[in-house]
Amino acid sequence: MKRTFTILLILIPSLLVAAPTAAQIMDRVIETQKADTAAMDLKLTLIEANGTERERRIQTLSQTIDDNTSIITVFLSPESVKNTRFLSVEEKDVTDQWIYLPALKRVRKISAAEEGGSFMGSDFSYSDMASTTYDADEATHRLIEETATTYVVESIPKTVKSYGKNIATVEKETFLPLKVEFYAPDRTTLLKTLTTLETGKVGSRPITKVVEMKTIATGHATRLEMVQVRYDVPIPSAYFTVRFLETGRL
Amino acid sequence: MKKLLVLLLLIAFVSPLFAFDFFATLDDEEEGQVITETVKPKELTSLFVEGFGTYYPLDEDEPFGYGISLGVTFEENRDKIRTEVDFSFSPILRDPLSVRTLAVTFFFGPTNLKVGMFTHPWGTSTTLHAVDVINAQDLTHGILDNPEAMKKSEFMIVYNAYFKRSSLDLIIKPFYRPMDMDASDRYAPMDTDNLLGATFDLGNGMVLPINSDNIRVGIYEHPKFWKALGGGGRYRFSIGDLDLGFMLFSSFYPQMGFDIGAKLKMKPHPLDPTQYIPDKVEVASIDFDFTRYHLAGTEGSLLVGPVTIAWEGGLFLSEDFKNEDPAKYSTKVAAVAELSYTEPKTSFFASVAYQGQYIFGDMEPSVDQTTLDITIPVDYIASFLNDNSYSSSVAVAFEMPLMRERLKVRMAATYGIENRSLVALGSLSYEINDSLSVYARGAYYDGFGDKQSLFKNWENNSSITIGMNAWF
Repeated sequence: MKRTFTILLILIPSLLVAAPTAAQIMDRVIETQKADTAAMDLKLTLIEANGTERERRIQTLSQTIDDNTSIITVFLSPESVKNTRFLSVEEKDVTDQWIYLPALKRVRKISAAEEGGSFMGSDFSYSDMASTTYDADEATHRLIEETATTYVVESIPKTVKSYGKNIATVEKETFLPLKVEFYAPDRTTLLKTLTTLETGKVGSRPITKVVEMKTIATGHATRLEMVQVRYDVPIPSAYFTVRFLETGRL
Repeated sequence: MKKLLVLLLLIAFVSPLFAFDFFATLDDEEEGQVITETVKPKELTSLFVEGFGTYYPLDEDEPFGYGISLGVTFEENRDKIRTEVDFSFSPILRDPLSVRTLAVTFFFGPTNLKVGMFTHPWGTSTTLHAVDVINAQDLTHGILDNPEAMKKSEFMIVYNAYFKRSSLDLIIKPFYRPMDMDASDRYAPMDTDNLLGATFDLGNGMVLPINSDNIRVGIYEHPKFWKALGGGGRYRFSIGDLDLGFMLFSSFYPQMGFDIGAKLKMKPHPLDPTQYIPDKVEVASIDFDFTRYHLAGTEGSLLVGPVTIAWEGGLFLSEDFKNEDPAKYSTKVAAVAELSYTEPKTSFFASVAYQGQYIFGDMEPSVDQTTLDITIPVDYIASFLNDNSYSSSVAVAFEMPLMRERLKVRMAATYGIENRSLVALGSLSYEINDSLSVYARGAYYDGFGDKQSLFKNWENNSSITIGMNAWF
């Protein structure tokens, strides 16, 4: 009995510091990137296989209240899309979306973008822009590799839409995804890879500052750079209204 | 040129120039901000060549054309005020300077007041409209695939108020700005020097020659300032996926009316000289007139999955609601129904729309058997000498971005059902880089059958235009 107790005493500390499960890792990844509010100034560089680059500049504000997220996005360049504004408001699990098209000078309500829709002609889909990984409830996660500095987690979504499988390489220290591979619904064909090119910190929060998404089949890539970012700053709720969409002003 | 210089000076002295920028007001030193490049309020001013194009008419008899248009836009945002300027300069045009926007907006919480030259849209559909009546159209360049781009800016005062799920806009138009149309050039809707053509259909198969050798043409004069005053308001609200709006508006029709003094001339019957038969129509005078109308209308849209159902409709109550003055437009109703579809994955957009209008009152020309005066209602002339009270058209349009939005394909066509007229527009634009794009646009006008129509009159204007846009 005494021997058993001794073994338990030895085991307990080691159990307390046991490696997190794959689901816990992915929850931490989501948690690290989560914020009540965020203000971002983003630069999207579309890179063709031959190296030609085109740049898009957008700014977004987002706000999450009771798990309902509202996002307003303003397109600053190029000229062809300048001043296009996009509003997404989530309420009771229903997402309403509107777009303001400056050429038409009208606000139109549109159906919620599906997971696979390309965002501004980039290699990111609309869902990629929201999150590139799944939380514990959305997918079945499996830790397939662990190194001194990283976890490699395979995630198979419970509801397959655009992707059948993701493999994320997560930095142990920051829980930032350093690389994510996106596979087709057949789970074997690699569609896209997301690579973190630069990380940084906002206050004590680690962030990915520059990431690049590459489409394997075409060689086309998109570099997404956070020019400025702020988290958990007060953002007037009037930003997330059709009025703001129509006038561009509070 | 003087006006251009004034605008350029205005631009030079209004600074700094800001884009809308969430971050322009944030303190750069505040903790919690990552800056990877020097952030300045983004300058929105842009100078651009908006169509250095060449114009190839499909009709060999029409002259080849070319043109260049320079555009300047800027927007300055201060705490409570926004200043907007948007104009183009095209040296080859008769009126080279075109001011699209020259306006100041004052913001007071959830309301704002906009004053200046600009356009203000009404209506929920994208291709055809029934209640988008605030600003007149410019028809001197034909039909464009963006109805908004065909509008003429004019001096207005617009007050907007926004509530939680509704909004109100009130409009005052102190002046009158009619539709722009060429009188006798390439895009003349009809030959205004010869409004009724060479012959006049008296009915019963009797077509008479028109004599207008001694015609007196009246002086064209806009409604005066205080008489031209127009205005109205619109209230919009949302219930779930349904957006609904109601509007009242009073103004003048943007197209002029015609008061035509014409008489039927008789001649003795060749077989029985005691009897007289119609010989010809003598047009003695043409005077110009304008018609005030009062609009009561509605607009709405409903999102059903990826499909948007949009509608517009209105009663245009003419000042001549008793239909006594042939120079005034009659009361009419107009409506539009549109189905549009947006493919979220690709941004592909397609729409199909139906537009109909019904004009109350008799549109048919008539002859007073005592005086032999001919009454020609202006609605008859405006309908291109058709006396159908009902007219309708269908429109289809699509836009397809390809090659990661580098290439855009656009097509639009409108077909007039009663007068069997067609306009089809197509364009391809290719973005070489962020500052340069090239385009090819085609326009095809046609009229089938005998009935006159705008597009039939423009048959010779079918053309292909190639050009480029550049931004600096």
